[in-house]
Amino acid sequence: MTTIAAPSLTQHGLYILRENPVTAVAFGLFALLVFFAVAGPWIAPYDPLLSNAARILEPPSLDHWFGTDQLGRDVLSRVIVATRLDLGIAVTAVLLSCGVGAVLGCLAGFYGGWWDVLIGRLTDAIMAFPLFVLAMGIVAAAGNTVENIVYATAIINLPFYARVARAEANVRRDSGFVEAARVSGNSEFSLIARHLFPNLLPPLVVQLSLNMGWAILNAAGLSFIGLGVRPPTPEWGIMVAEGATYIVSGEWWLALFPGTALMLAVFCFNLLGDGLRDLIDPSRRT
Amino acid sequence: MSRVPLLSVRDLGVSFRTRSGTVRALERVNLDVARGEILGVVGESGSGKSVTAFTIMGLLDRAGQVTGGDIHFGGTDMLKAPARELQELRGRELTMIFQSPRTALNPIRTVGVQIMDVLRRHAVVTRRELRDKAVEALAAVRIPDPQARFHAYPFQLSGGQCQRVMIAMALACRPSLLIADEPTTGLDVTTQAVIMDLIRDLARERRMATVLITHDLHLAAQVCDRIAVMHAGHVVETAPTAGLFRAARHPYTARLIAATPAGHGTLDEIQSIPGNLPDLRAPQLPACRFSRRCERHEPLCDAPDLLPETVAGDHTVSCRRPL
Amino acid sequence: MDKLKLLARRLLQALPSLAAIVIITFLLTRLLPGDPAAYFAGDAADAESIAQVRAELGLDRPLVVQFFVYLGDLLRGDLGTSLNTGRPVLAEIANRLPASLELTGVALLLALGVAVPLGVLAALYQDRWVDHLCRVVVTAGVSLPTFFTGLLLIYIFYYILGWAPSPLGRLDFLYIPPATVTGFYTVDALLAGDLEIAWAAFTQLLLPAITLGLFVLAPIARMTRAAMLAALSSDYIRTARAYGLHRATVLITYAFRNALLPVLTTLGMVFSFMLGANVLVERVFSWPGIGSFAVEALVASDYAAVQGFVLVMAILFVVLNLMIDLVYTLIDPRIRVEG
Repeated sequence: MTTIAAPSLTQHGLYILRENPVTAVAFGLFALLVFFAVAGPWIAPYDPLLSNAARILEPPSLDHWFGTDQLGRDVLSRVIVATRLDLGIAVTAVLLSCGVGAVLGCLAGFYGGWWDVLIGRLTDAIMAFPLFVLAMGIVAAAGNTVENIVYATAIINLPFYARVARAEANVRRDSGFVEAARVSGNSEFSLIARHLFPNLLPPLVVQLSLNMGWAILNAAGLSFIGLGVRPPTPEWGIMVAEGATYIVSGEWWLALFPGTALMLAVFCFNLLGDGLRDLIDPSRRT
Repeated sequence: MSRVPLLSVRDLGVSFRTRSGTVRALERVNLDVARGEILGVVGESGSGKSVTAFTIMGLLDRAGQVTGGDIHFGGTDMLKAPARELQELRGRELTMIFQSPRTALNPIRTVGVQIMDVLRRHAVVTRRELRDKAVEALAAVRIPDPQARFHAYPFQLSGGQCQRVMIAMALACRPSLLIADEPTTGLDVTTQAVIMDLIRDLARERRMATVLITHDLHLAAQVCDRIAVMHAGHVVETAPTAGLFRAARHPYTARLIAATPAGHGTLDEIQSIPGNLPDLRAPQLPACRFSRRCERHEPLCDAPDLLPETVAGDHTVSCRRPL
Repeated sequence: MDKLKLLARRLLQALPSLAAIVIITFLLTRLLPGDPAAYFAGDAADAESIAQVRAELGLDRPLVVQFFVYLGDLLRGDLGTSLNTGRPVLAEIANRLPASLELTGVALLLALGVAVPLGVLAALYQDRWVDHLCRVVVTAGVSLPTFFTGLLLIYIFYYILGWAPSPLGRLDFLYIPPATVTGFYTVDALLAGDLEIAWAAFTQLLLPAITLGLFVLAPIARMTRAAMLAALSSDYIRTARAYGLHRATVLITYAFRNALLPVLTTLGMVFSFMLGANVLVERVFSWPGIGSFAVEALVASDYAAVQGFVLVMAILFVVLNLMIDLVYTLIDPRIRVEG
């Protein structure tokens, strides 16, 4: 009788991509975004900060594929260069959120007792607010800077990761291998680090990718209302805000291109999130 | 014995389309039940008992399709009748009760109202009469204080009480055929006995044709007039109860009887049946699906077109080498 | 009597959330870097005004004392004074709240009116075009930035098609707002019998409400579809069909009512998104609600106003969640009877 070997992660991954062309497209888009974030300033055709009073508010043309804005700056270049800032804010915020949330959730789920109560109260307190409003409040109180946008976004996403981590830690705590590890004399810390964390990773990664899209929307929303990023820094949210005043007079390109870029980035991460979830844990599909 | 069957299933075949292939769930199934008779359909899990029941009721899953045969109930050809006609018959002339009664009842509707729903659908009565009849139905299944229980929700009732409620719903319109799919599995032993008594009494009282589906041969022996034994989608033997136990002709039936605890033997006397049910997705299934587990297996058993043969009176068997 | 007890218990359960909200809004000002007095005094204040504000607000006293002063102020309805307008913050917010409520209310109705039928149909006709449409709507819906959708809608329906009125607030400047009864222009105009103003107010409301509604369409449709599918594959549906109940009865009375329960629970999360998106939509459409009030306050560093806004929105959120909880309790007998 022949035994069927379990597929490796790469094989499984390629299978998922073939079965699901949409996920493959998302991966492609993701690669493109990362490329723009990294190489943006070098591949942009014009200097994103260079204004040109002679060529303001020009519609898209061969010279300027996305047209020019109210200061004569090339919209395409600004959109490309903004990728770094928008992705940077979202990625940093989510990683921070995930890291702290995972640790807190782990402690709450593993030790229970006071840890659980305290951390539970903290997450409940955060969730008692409409999240975007809380972010506004935090940025207003802490000061109107890009760092604070990152912290605010990280804080409001904390409960999601803490909950996932806590649930997993709870399950693992009572499972056999923790007892076995304890009995064989492992310290608590190495227990958590080597046995708990690897099992936490899959659901956390899924949550992370599902969350990233929302984090981008959040950050862009905050900058749309004037928080964090200041002109002339190119950033999608602030560009849409600036373009908003011109849309009623028909100059659609100032807001449309950064808005579409924003939409594509969020869309890409949402699809990636779904794909990753299918890859790691298909049972959670809705 | 001349007996006009109320329900007659002839040569029924059912398949399911699944991702891993086509499952030939039923093949050449023959069953019949007459008025006032209790037929037991016995077999292991996965033998096709429930699929047969669902097909008779017209409740087959979307992935399932009838590949052959016919089902006649009263004067109706159940496989050819239009959906509306079947819907009229269900609940009024033929009904079914299910395993796990609590999940089979609507959790956010009182039991009284659920019985009224069935009554309202099939009987033309006034609102006051509806309520009275519903309470009557509850009383008929021997629920204490039916007036009060009318307003209860399923989660407030025990498993046994939920099963009584389901029986009340099923029998509210006085149907002529009842299919009971493992009605007592999951209930405690005392309740099992009580519920089985209730079903048998009601069946006799109302001269209902009853099909009792169960994996418990002992239970079937106590209650049923005739028993059909199923294995892997085939009916392997059908006989009056006494005849079946006195002289089982199919090797599977014999092993089934030997494997059933009878309450007075020792654990050592029980013999399990070797092997497992065959995988019904396999493209080449043997003519006799028990052959791979049978100790009497010989090459002649693999000859195609295995049909049931009458061995005595009302006793039929599908085997090339019956006992 | 039982229902009152249940009500009381649910209200008590909301208290910890309210406590958390009050504590956090308090801490946001006091524990963060910088001088709170400077925040409250404003950018333009000099050292003397700052010192005055510090004394007024008692910012030199111990933290615990400050908290109780803050609490006392809240209970008296004193949310401080707005730097921008000089009026009490509570009065400003109360003035602007009806506009936001009207917008959010209509948006929610629109969203429910489209998302719930869509979800139900997608569940009933799985893998047909309705289901695919639902899936597209859900995927697109969670990716679209609200402010972007709003701008797109303005561009298409106002600039190009000319169907929508100018997106500059609740009522075109030609009209006089109706006498205030509820604060909702459409309702008040109807109450006053003035159909023209009612219609004008309604058409102004439509585009922003659609924008906000589109944003929450996706989660509601997704949850309705999932809940409906789960209900349809339940045992009790099989029983209902086994007894020949009409298709309509099975779908509506049996399946849909059960499916409503998880959809209702989703509304909590939906409200969280809506109250946030409200701010963005009001900004795009110049809608004079508390969202745009907050944005103006943020830009002007009017700290008392921003704090007041966060507090009021959070309390509103708690109240909305409480209402969902109560409705759920009334619908689901399993909770009602066991308390």
